[in-house]
Amino acid sequence: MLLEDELKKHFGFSSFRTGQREIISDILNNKDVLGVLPTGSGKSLCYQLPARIIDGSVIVVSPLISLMVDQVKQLIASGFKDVVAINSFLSFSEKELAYKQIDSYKLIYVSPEMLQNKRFVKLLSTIKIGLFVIDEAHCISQWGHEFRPDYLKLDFIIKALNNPTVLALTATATPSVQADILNQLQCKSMKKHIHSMDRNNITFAVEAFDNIDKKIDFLVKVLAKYPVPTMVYFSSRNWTERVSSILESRLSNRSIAFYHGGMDQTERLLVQQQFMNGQLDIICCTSAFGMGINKKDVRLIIHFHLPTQVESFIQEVGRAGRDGESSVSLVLAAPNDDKLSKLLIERELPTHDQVKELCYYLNSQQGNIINEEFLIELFQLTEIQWRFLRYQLEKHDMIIDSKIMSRNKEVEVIIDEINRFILLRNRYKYEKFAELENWVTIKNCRRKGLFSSFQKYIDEPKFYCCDKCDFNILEWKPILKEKNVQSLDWKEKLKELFLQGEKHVETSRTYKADV
Amino acid sequence: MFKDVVLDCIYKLNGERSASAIYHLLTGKRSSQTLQDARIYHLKNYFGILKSLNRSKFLECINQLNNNDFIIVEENNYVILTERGFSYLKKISNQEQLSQFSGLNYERITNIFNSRLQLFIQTITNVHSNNYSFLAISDDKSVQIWVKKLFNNKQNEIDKWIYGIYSELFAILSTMSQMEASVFVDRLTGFNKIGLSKMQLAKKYKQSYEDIELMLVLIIHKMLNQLIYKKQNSEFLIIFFDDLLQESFVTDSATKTYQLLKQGFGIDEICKIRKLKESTIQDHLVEIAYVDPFFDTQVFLPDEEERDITHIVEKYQTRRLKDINGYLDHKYSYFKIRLALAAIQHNGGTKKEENV
Repeated sequence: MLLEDELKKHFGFSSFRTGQREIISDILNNKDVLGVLPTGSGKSLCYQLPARIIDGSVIVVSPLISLMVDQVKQLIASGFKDVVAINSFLSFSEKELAYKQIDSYKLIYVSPEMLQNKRFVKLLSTIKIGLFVIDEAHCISQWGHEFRPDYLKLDFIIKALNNPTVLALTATATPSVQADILNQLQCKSMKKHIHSMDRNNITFAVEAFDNIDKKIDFLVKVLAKYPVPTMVYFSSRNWTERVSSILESRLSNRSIAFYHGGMDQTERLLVQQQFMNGQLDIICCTSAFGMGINKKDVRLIIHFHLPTQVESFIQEVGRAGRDGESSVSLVLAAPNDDKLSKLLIERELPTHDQVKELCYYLNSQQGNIINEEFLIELFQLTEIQWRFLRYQLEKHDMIIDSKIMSRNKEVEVIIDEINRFILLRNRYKYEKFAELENWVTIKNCRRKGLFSSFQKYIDEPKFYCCDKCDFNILEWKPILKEKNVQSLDWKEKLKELFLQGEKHVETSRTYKADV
Repeated sequence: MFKDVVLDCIYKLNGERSASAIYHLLTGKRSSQTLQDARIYHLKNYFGILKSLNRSKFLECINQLNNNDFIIVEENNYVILTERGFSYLKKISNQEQLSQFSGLNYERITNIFNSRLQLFIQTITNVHSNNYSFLAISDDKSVQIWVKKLFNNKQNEIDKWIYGIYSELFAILSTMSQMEASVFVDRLTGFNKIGLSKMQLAKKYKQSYEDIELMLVLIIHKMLNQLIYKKQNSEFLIIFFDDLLQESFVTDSATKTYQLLKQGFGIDEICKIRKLKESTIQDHLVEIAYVDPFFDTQVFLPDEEERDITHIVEKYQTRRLKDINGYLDHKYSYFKIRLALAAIQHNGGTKKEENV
């Protein structure tokens, strides 16, 4: 069997991209694989192609439900029909339907939460599983930037499913995170395929300002100078709306929109597709935008605010220039920027008081079954906070199988241990954030600085390297695309939409002749 | 338009309801209280036309009207139109527009019709341009299944359908204002052209978000009106809602009661069968009376009693049950008065409407 033939047959591509062929061929030889491939390098093909070839189903664990749903939609749109996404957002009847015909799917996407459901795991163990994929595998590592407690139990699940071949995929993993993934999965013999995360067509630049107004002025200046597809990242929903309206008033001939997780589903879908389709020039977004976005010609990624760690930054920057053309990452820095990031870090895990109150409450409810929604409401927890707490409480045997147990430790001791752990993790996250802050004020090459903890060497830049080496943002010469702005009246627009323009006249005439 | 709708509601409610009654009406709360308000006060056309309205936006509007002295909010939260508000309402130019909302009639059709049409247009224009992979603009599973079925049936006549839908839309949109036609076309998604979001439409046409939402609903209602009452011949667009028209617009529980009634059971028998209180069954009957003009209420309300009640309603210009009951010296039960109000509605309403 020639892998290239299969690729052509199922996906219409004639050649593999870097890394794909090696990973797929190892999988087909039943070897466990850890793949570290940069964002936008076609990670998902590494399991989508095997799903077409191997005997049995492919399970993909993915923590991002929206990404999962997008992928399934795209697969169905492209003709890959025997695929399903099973997550907590499915209605009862949708879930039952999926369960009933579980053996008819070649590709089954599941959220890690679903794998905590014993009935579901039991069901999966009844079908033949050819490959078990862990997407965003860095979430397994306690030291990964997006640690997910549910991911820690994956080794048990793999055993329960009779040890299928395992593929762990991630875009960002330092050597220590890689080691941790192998360790947590109990797969010491995993074959590693590590590829450079550095993209040679992306140039790095940072500009610092005394205050926020100057920062906004500069943003406007850069955007006015370069009419290229641009994403501007913010760390709060509010800011995306605020700056988007400022930009609209100051850049009259550009189409600008904001995007964040708080918007209505249809509105989000429209804005996202407008950007992909080139109808929008600038999108002001939070990190919610971009997952699963497959737009090749994003030229400029601006960070109005920094994310909370280097890994996220690399991932976001990696959305630029997938067509290989010159693209730029620009960070805008101003005093007090760190306040918002630190607030985000603090809010991710519960506060000491929340931990204390929850533990005392549970202690008074021994023997009862927990009601997650009620607890989340009562203690004002976010979903992530609750998942974290639940994992901790299970670790301390305060909750077993959703039942509140009588404790064998003093409740004060448990509270203390959890809070100490939170303190430790927050401290670790501040350190991670400091890494990125240090990079902003670095004295020498930004490219080397950014990737130093992930890889020893960096690629020779294809265009410019960074503002420390050879680049000035105001002298960049990106490819500009001609954009024809037409202002048609509705009659012309309708005609065009229904393909009834000049070049389509033929069709409608023939049709009229027919009737 | 949002402000005008709210003012018109306040006017028609005659100071007999609180502001939240309007909120429930606009968002289409399916409670028998709200359904009855819609019917008694001739507000059926506004039922459920602004489903996504959030409470704070609504209260903002009420406060603004209050501050501008268009309305007075009383202590019990009842709202009354002022002289100023009344003369404003009389002067507004889109009175005719407002009367074209058909909220209760199309409440369940509006969204489905719209989503099906939009998704089908996206599908055929893409397929026609040889693009078979695009992301559906509607997430609704049942809509997707419906569109897929229609597409499978018609895929050999795509040209015909593209031209057909185009022509019918062109004809209907030509009867609307420039702005309405433009907004509708801008919202459509086709091949290589994604429709504008409501937020973007609001900005482009310098309207509030609520106004755009109302305009989109109004456009659909106008379309449905033209298609259903055959002012426009339709071979294509009608397919997108034909199957939905059969559904009746009463609560499921009332439907069951109606079925039993048609089978010849009396009220007390239905109470036993359904294990419901008599007052509940009466609620159902009133609900049916409002929806079905052919529902014969004679058994429950003889003609002369109905005339008696109608007379009082017209004389005192009120629809408040307690007042009517008082004027009639408590001669008739509330049930009978409610049935009479339903009948008045079918007979074209009282004179009051003509003032507006």
